[in-house]
Amino acid sequence: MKIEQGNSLWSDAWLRLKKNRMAFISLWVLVFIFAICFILPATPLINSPRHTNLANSFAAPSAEHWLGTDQLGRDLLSRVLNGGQVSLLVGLIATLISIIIGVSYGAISGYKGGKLDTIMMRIVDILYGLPFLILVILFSIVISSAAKEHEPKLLNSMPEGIVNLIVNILPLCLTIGFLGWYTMARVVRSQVLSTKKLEYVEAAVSLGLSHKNILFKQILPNQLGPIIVYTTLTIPGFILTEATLSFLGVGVQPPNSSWGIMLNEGANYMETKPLLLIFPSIVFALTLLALNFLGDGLRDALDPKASKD
Amino acid sequence: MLKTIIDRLLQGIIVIVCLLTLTFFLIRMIPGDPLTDEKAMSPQVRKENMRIFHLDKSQPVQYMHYWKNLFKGEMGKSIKKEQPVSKIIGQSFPVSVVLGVSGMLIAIVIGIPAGIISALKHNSLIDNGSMFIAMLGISIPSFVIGPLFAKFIATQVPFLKVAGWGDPFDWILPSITLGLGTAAYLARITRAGMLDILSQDFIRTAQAKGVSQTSIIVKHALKGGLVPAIAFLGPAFAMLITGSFVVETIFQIPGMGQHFVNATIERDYFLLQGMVLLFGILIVLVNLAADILLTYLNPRLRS
Amino acid sequence: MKHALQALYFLTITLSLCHCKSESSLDNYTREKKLILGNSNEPSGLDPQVVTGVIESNILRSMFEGLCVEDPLDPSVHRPGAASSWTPNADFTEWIFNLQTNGKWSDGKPVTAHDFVFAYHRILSPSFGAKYASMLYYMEGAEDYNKRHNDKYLIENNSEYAGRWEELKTINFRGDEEVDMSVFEKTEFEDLSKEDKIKFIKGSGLNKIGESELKAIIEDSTLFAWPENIDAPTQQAILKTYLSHAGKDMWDMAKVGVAAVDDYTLKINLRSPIPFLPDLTKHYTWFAVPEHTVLQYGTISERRTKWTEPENLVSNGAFKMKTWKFNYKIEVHQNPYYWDIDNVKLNGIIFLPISNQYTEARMFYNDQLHVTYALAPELIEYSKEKHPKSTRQETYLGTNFLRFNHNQEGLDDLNVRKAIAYATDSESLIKYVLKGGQQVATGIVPPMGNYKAKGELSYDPVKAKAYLAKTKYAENPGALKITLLTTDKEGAKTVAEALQAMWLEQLGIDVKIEQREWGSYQTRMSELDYGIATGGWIGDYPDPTTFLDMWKKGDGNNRTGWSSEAYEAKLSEAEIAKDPTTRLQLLQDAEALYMSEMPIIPLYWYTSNYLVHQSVKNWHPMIMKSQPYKFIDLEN
Repeated sequence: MKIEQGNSLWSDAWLRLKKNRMAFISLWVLVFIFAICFILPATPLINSPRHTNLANSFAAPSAEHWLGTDQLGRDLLSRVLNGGQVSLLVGLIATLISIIIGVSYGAISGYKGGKLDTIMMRIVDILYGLPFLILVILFSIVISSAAKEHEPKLLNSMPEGIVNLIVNILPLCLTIGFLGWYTMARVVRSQVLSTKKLEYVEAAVSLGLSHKNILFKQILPNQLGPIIVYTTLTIPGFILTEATLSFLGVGVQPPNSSWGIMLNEGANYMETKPLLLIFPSIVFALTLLALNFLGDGLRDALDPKASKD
Repeated sequence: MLKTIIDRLLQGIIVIVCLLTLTFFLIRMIPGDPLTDEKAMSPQVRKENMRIFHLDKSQPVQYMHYWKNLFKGEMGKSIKKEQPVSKIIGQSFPVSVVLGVSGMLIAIVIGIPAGIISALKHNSLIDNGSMFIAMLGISIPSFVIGPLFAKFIATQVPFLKVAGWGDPFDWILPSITLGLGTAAYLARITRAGMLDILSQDFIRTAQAKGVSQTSIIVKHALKGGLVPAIAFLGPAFAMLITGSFVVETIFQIPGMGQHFVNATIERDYFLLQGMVLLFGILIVLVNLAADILLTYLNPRLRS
Repeated sequence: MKHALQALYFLTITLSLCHCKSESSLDNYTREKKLILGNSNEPSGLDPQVVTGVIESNILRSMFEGLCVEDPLDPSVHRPGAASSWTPNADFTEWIFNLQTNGKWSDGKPVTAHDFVFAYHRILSPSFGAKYASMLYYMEGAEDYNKRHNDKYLIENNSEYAGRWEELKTINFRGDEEVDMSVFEKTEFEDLSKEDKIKFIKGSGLNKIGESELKAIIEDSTLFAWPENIDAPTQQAILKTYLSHAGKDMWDMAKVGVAAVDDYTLKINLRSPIPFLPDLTKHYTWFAVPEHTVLQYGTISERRTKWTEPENLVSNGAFKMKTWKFNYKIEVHQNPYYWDIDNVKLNGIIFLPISNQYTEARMFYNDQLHVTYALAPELIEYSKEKHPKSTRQETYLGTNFLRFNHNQEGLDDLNVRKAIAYATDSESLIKYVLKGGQQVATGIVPPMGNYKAKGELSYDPVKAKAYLAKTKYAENPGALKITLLTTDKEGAKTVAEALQAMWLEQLGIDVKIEQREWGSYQTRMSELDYGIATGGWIGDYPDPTTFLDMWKKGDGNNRTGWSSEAYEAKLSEAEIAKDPTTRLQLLQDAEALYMSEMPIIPLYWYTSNYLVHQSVKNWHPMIMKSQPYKFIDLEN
């Protein structure tokens, strides 16, 4: 995207987004959350998320532990921040994967129509029906045997953090992404079906534009609204699914954590140590709210029809 | 139309056959089998048990055997619970339907109007406020909301129980817990769909012509605006009926959701097949219903 | 909150009027003398000879009654159950049980000694495949019968072969344990290659092969590895003998040590002195089943017949089946034919399969339950504070431990195992993580009766480091790559994380935690695909052997790759010891030997934490949680 194309979709959108106050604040909130999750833990300000002290479990917030400590006496703040790294990465990468698969699948199915559409949609029906747990367990076997094989080699050539990312987080994102695109495909397909007979598409067809061009340049940009909204809706689900997968052995392995895992465990302390539930919940909800309003802002900003205002 | 429906039902049968076949072989690929237990059996006892549960045949033979029985209308017995699968489904399915339908009603009654109003009052306080609540509804998972309801509402209201499944009052909290997340989803999707339609030319034209706002919404906007919501509702409904594992354990409800999870974890082959069969039928039916509704709402889809 | 609802007052009243079921409150159940119990999960079945778990046991104990019954106050006292009295002989190998003359099944038919013989015959039937048949191996001949040691009846004690046993015993009758039989699990004999047929027959032995295999050997004797000294005619004779008995029940020839002297006298002969036989008879594997009902719905060796369906189930205990709604509730009510019905105080019991411990606790706090099944660690302190009189903490016969995989590099070194064991701070784990008042375990056998645990393990970081210094990992403990396998059940992960931190801090060993769902976790342990694994064991009966026998070579529960001939020799010696004190001493020696090799790290001896409502009377601590319901009462 070049700056001089002042009237391009994207730069217009950026200008409009800046005018939307809620969206703009949300953007900064997100930047802030990303920053503290990814930068703060590297500084000496924050305790190690792994350092346990059983005798100091469930400590109240103090100067040393700003949010107090968890069930094993670990610093809650550093765990929330570290967990945030996983959850944010999963939220982004897994969503991206599921969008890419879901949108192209749904779009092709809806646009091509006919027999191909029928077959593609029935495949989605089958995938819907397969028990989620079985697939996850199978994934976990494939991943752990692959990890066993490649991890030592990778450790020789890369720092541990990146190896961890490749061995644990990436497969996790792939798993979630591969299991999470079905509804997106259905939504996109129904949208494409309803637009492909609109006047402007028919005009494009009569102009002799290629199918690829019509689908990706004419139809899909008009569907960005629902896609963005549906995306912001899938992110919380994905972040929570991550916890389930981690409990089953795909993804984050203890002592590492994530927001989903912290919420799951925190729920058990609802009656007794509510802080363990409240702090992760706040960050989690804040992130999602910000994402949502940013998504809405983006939707409005990218709406090609809105530009006629 | 009738032809389309018959076509789709035939396709549905193929879908279910594929689904059952895949599940049959996939569940046998994961480690462990129904005889895996905390206390191990001696090889000889294991052998006898393999025979008793007809697991001592090769997989293709077992597979053929499964279909033969299914055609006779027998889904087999649960291996772990020694109960006929049909009985387990017969007892838990009605419960799940009650829970799923009431959850769905709550979701629709709250979600769709909220989405429509938000879209009409785009970027107003009502819009931002209801979307704020909707997003909270999505970001607070049911395993948190359920216990909160049980703890703070059930203990205060005289006719509500913290858990259990007896009289219709027991339906209230679980249905709300189950429906709330879906309501929030629906609100967001409806809003987006409505916004999309409201900015389209034909609506603008109608507005310019001076057609009344109500008539525009009811006659034109709703039809197109609800398309994404309905595309979402199909699978969401099937999920509400079978995917209520968390709500079932929190409120101690004898529904189907837990069988889905437990049958996999315990490698209860026949129970899982039965569950998948039922879920497959549901998926086929609700997606068909959703597609019919979509065609009705959007005449352009009719070919 | 209630004030806020005043606006809804009218509505509430109206709704409450519709809400005419008065029995929803616990007080009403108490008045009706119906006990409501949390029972964790749906039972896997209700056939005493089939099931294996605590959940099933809880329900079975209400409906069935063994020969003896627990005393709620004193574990060493045995109360009369289906038997009114019993007498052992001097060395505890022959017992006479006199049954209640007015003992009746819930359909009014008398409970006779024949029902017991039938039940024991049934559970021991090899083709019945009972997982817990080994609980009856104490009876003479029971193990041989259950394990199809047919050579004993067909050859050794067969007059046709009289005097030839020394010569014939070299034949592979009982199968070669070294052969991996699991590969043949899913193939028909006919479809195997000749090589595999030979392997299959070698693994099975003559005792365990069927008619078609025998016929195959008759035709082609090379399928079976005959010892050289057995000539062809003898081979054919033996095969004919086996063929004539193929698929037949050997019960009559097996002469298992149980007999009905008359309708009301049961005689049990044991293979070794078992002073604790009355304890065993309280276990559901020793219960009688109604012969007439079982046979009405199937044969003796047939499982999963309709006799356990709620409308057919007939039992001999204080209660009988009323309703069984899957995953919802099981309700039993008084059995009018019970011999001691005048002393039964409860009218019925309702078992609820509440799998979520937090839900169960909430239901209890909200007066929907009399007794909970368990109490989550997070809620123990909370309950002690809010419901001090209801919170129970009792010893429970079980040990929690960590298995070492002896096939794993590094863990095959005793010093590494010891280093890790001494670096494990069970006391902190109990105090800060488990919080259930568990006892630090020093050995695999928890304290019971006169048996004193032999281990001397304790947390000692200095010792731990000293042991590590003796290993090749002394300089670089990080080189020791171990996985800690655990599961996704409540609390398992927190314990694993605490252990990981302890070992990292004390030894510099950074284990990798692998959390797997239940099925995968079990499979990986059985296949020895782990480094260290969390585990536990609950005793089936109050005797050390329930904790010691599982570590024998080839036992499916061993799962460590460890075995010791010296250890097994001690156990065999104890088995035949006539004097109870000597027997316990031998078992203690065996445990000491076991602990010195450290195949596991014992972490703690279990306690049972749960909630009991104030209205429940006579609910006393039981080391195996086998509460005899007939003594329990409810009073507001």
